[in-house]
Amino acid sequence: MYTAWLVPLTLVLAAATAAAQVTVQEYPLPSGLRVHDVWADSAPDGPVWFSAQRSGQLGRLDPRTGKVDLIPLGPDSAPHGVILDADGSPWLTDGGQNAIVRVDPKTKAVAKWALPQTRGYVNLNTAVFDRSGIHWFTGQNGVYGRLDPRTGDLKVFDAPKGRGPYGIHATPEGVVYYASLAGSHIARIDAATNQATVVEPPTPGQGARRVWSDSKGVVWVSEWNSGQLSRYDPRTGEWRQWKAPGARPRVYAVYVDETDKVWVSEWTGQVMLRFDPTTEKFEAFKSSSGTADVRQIHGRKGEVWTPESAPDKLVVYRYR
Amino acid sequence: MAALTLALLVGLWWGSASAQEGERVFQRCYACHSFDPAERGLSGPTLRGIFGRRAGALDGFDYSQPLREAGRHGLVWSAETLDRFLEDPEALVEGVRMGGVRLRDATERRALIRWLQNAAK
Repeated sequence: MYTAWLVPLTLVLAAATAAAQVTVQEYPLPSGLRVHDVWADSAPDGPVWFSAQRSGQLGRLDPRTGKVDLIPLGPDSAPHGVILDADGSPWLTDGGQNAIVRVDPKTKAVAKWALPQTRGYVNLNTAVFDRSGIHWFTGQNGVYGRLDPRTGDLKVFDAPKGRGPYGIHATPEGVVYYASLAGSHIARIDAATNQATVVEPPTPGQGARRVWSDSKGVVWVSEWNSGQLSRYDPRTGEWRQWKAPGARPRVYAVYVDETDKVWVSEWTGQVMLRFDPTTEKFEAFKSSSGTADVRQIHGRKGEVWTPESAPDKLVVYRYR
Repeated sequence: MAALTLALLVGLWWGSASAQEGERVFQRCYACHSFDPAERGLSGPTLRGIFGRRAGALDGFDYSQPLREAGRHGLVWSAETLDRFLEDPEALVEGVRMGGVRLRDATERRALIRWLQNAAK
């Protein structure tokens, strides 16, 4: 295991369009990791875990000290997503190893569930746990699947429209949705039948990349091709869309915080945007990085964490 | 004569096996790349006609700045440059967006590139 202490940088930035202040703190990581996804433990000041795709490692940041631990996952590892289970253990969707990987947070022992060889390479992307503890995952080559951690039972299913399954999330009721980037749709998974049903957004070819549910089960979608943030209400079937500010925006990641404000990363302007569904306004925030390339967003009460893949940093936006 | 026939058969078998292996390895690229220039919704550019093409230069595709710069400084895709790129994209083009994706196995890279030389025509 590799350990590093790097000096965090704190900035206090005023939002470009709002009076509310947001504190931005940056944690540099060892260079060359190509941090991809991030997951913050829900405990205040708890560890923040991240996937290091290029180096094939799981990372753990202690935000109180800036200490970074790196845990190697295997010689062919290239992890994309990282999430925590109810016990605080990190799980990775490891495209390089074509396996679901769990790391024991205390012993750092690595356990793997390889995908069936008959499925070939699926390009594992992202995962989420539903309320019953089933681990649902996507594979960009055109699959989604489920792993029961209690039994090790792993099943892989063909996605209804082929390649593209990318971000995945569950509503508070436990309904799982995923976004299909190449397929430009979202899909709802019925956990009882394992069937995925396509839900077509109104904008053709929008490039739905990631999804996140708010506290009421409304599904928010980041659209890469159209540069929109969109909203799907499963109760009414209604869609709404808002174009991100700036010329030719590209919206990569989406996350909904505990106040039901929606955060997205926008790549043309290289900014973080916070969207208030009540006022329907975006506020823009930037770290000190010229190019951040934020590929995913996660958070906990009062904090939104971003992995900046270009400069290899973790950045936290603290708000009240 | 028998030796020549055997050599030809081995050659044919090897070519076929290598092509199959290349197609299998391409599954690592499939999520983001296709050979159909009309397929616009993917994260990566079409691979049709990639050999001999300047890096970051395909009209209509939104490349990252580092890849455009590399092309402007003379990076052209060939079997040799693709081999270096696939082994570690960041080592050839620092800051490229697919920097986290590496094909470390040289035999797999060779098979993929041989297969691409036909598939990408």
